[in-house]
Amino acid sequence: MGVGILLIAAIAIAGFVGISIGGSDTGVSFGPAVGSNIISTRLACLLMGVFAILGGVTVGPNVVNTMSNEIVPSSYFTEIASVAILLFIGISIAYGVMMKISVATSQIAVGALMGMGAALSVLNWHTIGVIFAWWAFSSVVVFWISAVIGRYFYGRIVRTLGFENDTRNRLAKVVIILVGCYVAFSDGSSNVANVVAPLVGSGSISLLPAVAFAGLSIGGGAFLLGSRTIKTIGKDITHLSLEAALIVEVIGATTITFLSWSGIPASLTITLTMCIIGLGWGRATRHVPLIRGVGLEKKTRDDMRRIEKDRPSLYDVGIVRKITSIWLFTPMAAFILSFLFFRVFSFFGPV
Amino acid sequence: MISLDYYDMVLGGIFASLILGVGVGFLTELPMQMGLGFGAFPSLMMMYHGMFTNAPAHE
Repeated sequence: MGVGILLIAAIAIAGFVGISIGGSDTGVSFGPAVGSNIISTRLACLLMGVFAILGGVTVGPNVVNTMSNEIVPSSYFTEIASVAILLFIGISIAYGVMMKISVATSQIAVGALMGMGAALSVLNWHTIGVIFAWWAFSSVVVFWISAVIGRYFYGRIVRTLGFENDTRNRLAKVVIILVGCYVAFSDGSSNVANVVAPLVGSGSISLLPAVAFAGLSIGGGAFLLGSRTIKTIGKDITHLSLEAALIVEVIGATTITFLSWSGIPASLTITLTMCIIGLGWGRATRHVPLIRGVGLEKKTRDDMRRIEKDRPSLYDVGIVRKITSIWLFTPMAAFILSFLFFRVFSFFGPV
Repeated sequence: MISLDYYDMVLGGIFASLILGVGVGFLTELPMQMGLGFGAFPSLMMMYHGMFTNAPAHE
């Protein structure tokens, strides 16, 4: 009977993880659409749910396969191990929701799985190498694309979209809603694995019902919590201009959908933040030749600083430094905690 | 006349390095992820230089 209770606990925690993800990511997907009063919060939550389920069911299984078997062999996913991994993920998301930040769920999940694999000496280093190579490569690509757009094409895109007119045309509204749906789709595709991969690994649930359950719990989270979190989480996105938000979201969602399709667990939060940094950096660099062009280089450094202060901050080295160190720190913390947990418990018998 | 400044070179360098990495992955016996890693590493160094060492706001 003990096994039955553990399984129920694991499913309950998985449901909690899914609901938290759905709740915390609705703002990221539909912040721009709701913030600019194009759709209601209720409709945003509905669309978030539907498209997250779609992404989860169509592309999501690829990531579930990686996370349930390729990092740690599935035979090591006992029910206790599944509960432990899910708890790591769940606690970190709950912490993020409390602190009103969206956490890098996939990075934490991979860190926790790596800790488990290392503690039990069954870690598949090849998969880890592939995942890390893709993380590094995709971060650079995303930064590069965003920076190039920010530096060379931003003004042109803003003029083409023509959002600055108060009477927004219908096409623009449709684009904003579609982009939100696309982000929700990519979010579902990468996150179903974080909800159910340990359960699939342990053989408690087979792949399709698991993915459906994960999709539904993420969708349910969007309904239950989305309206509360839409204004608090995802502020990085909603603080951007509408044009910038759309550019960032299209690049981010495309990257995440591609990585999920390739079976690589990757975080939407990190990718979007990388886009925001790249776009801001690109736009900030654009100002340098312009300032020089109007002869400001003759002014003193203090004058320059004052001028820089007046413009909206596009790129802040301090913040970027802080964000990148958090990224390096979170999976490492998940790795160490999970490693210690599985090391200690393996003394008491098979985990 | 087109004049390239520091940031154009950073972006160009990142692009060249990424393409080189993908090329190595495709054209040699090395596995793709090795190529990607090799391409990403110098790009990350250039990104670091452009983002922190010569950050635009402090120019």
